[in-house]
Amino acid sequence: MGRILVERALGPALIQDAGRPGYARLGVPASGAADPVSLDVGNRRVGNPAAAPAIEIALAGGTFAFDSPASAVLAGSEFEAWIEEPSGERRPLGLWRTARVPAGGRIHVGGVRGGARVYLCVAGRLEVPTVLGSTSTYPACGLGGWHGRPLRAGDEVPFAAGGDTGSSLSDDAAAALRSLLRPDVLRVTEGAQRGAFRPESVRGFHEATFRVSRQSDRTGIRLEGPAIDIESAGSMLTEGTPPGAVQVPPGGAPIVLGVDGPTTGGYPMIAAVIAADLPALAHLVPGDPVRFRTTTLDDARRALAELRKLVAGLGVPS
Amino acid sequence: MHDWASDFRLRLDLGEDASGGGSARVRAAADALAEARVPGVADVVPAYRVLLVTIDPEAGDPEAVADRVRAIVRGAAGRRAAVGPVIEIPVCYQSPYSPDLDDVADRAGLTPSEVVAAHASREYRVAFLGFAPGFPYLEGLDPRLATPRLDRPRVRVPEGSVAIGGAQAGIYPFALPGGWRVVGRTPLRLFRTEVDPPALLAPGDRVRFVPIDAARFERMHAGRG
Repeated sequence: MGRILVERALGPALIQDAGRPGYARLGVPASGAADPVSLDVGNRRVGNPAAAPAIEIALAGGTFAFDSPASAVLAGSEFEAWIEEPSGERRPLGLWRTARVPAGGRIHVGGVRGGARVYLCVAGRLEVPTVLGSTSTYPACGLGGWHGRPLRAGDEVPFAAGGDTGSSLSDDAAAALRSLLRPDVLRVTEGAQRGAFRPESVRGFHEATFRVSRQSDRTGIRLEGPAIDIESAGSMLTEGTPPGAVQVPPGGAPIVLGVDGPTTGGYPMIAAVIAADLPALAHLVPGDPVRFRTTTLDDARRALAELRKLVAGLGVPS
Repeated sequence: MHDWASDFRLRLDLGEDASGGGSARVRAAADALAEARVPGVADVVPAYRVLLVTIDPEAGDPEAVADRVRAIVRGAAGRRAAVGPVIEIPVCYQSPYSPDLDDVADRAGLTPSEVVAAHASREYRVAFLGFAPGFPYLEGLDPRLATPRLDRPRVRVPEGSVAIGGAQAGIYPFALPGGWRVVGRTPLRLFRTEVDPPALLAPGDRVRFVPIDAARFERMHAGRG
């Protein structure tokens, strides 16, 4: 059994797997990787099951020391990253490029170069207890993951090393994933309370360019920009709220619910981001522009089918 | 107009329950769906009048799964929702566990003791769980106690806080930000991952609040492992 010593983790850095769906009726969100596509592709690079736990690193990066040899890959958005040998010598660690880390080596994840998140997938298995069937962290309520909280300096995460072979993605595949994970617009279908909004407000919503607020996190992407008016004065009865739902609270600043978002809510929903575009939410950086474009249910489902086909096609060559 | 909340989430608005039972019709539909074990239904969230059904994108045509769900829900129209047991929740309504009790009393034109009596004398129904793991939305609050949320939500409402939000009553299972008015606190844990089921309360359960004093609260709180 090896150990990953966390030397720095300002990210936040959270243990996430593919999540714990099926508990929403208990008020437990599915959580899991905010970008399950990158988790899937990254895990398979290093020979792991697609849903295996990884370290989800956001914005401020982290430094991870290995006390025994491991294969690892960074999957998701590009960060400044390098491997430090025990000798101190450094070599760059490119996105989607599986690499060997020797005993005593370190992986440094520094500054953001594109989107907000990257997954450190280690060949083998991170030994983290499961809670409600998953190793995912839901930090708001201290559920799961590493003691229910983000990793911090001094933590030692045990891992059972896997094989020492791995593969990297071709440049074409990396480019295809990049455009999928950083689209120009987020496609949406009509929200449950769309009728509660004046037509001008709906138009305004679709014509606006919002900016991602610093207050954004896995619970939701908060948007700054033109305030959206709500037509009906009455308040809405609380109902189930899916990830991707675009809620408009009093004040008119939309929130796009994330994977840690509450399972029910009372704010009217003007739109819902399509399943194929949910992974892109994970990569939004504060200040990024956000625009919404309506699509049909059929097109939304087709987009997901295409996404899944693309991801399946990135299997490890035999 | 369709009944999809998103591309893979079906939203069934079951309307007001004619008997005034509120969410009972939604719970009955959720029960029927659970029994039917429809392939492709990944999750079901009941609420006051809306049932949100998550459909697994890997289960083939979502419209086909949805048709099956709609048929089962239609078929459950006359079904009685299961009524759960009465769960007693000890609550300390004394300071410092009841920071908004005086406010609620003032707005209701009652004394704090009268508010406690009105709050603790009713039998509530758990309409559904939501907002946070194990958080119960309770129906049955004395209408005199309905109080709007705080203008500025608290950054942290202590775990176990018993609260009122508008005409809704609930209990915070974790320390969380929140705008509901806190009238008391329970030493009970509402959500424990080490037990199955992890939530103390289930939709359809009935709840009675039992007043306890601060000394008893502290003993019970200290004693819970």
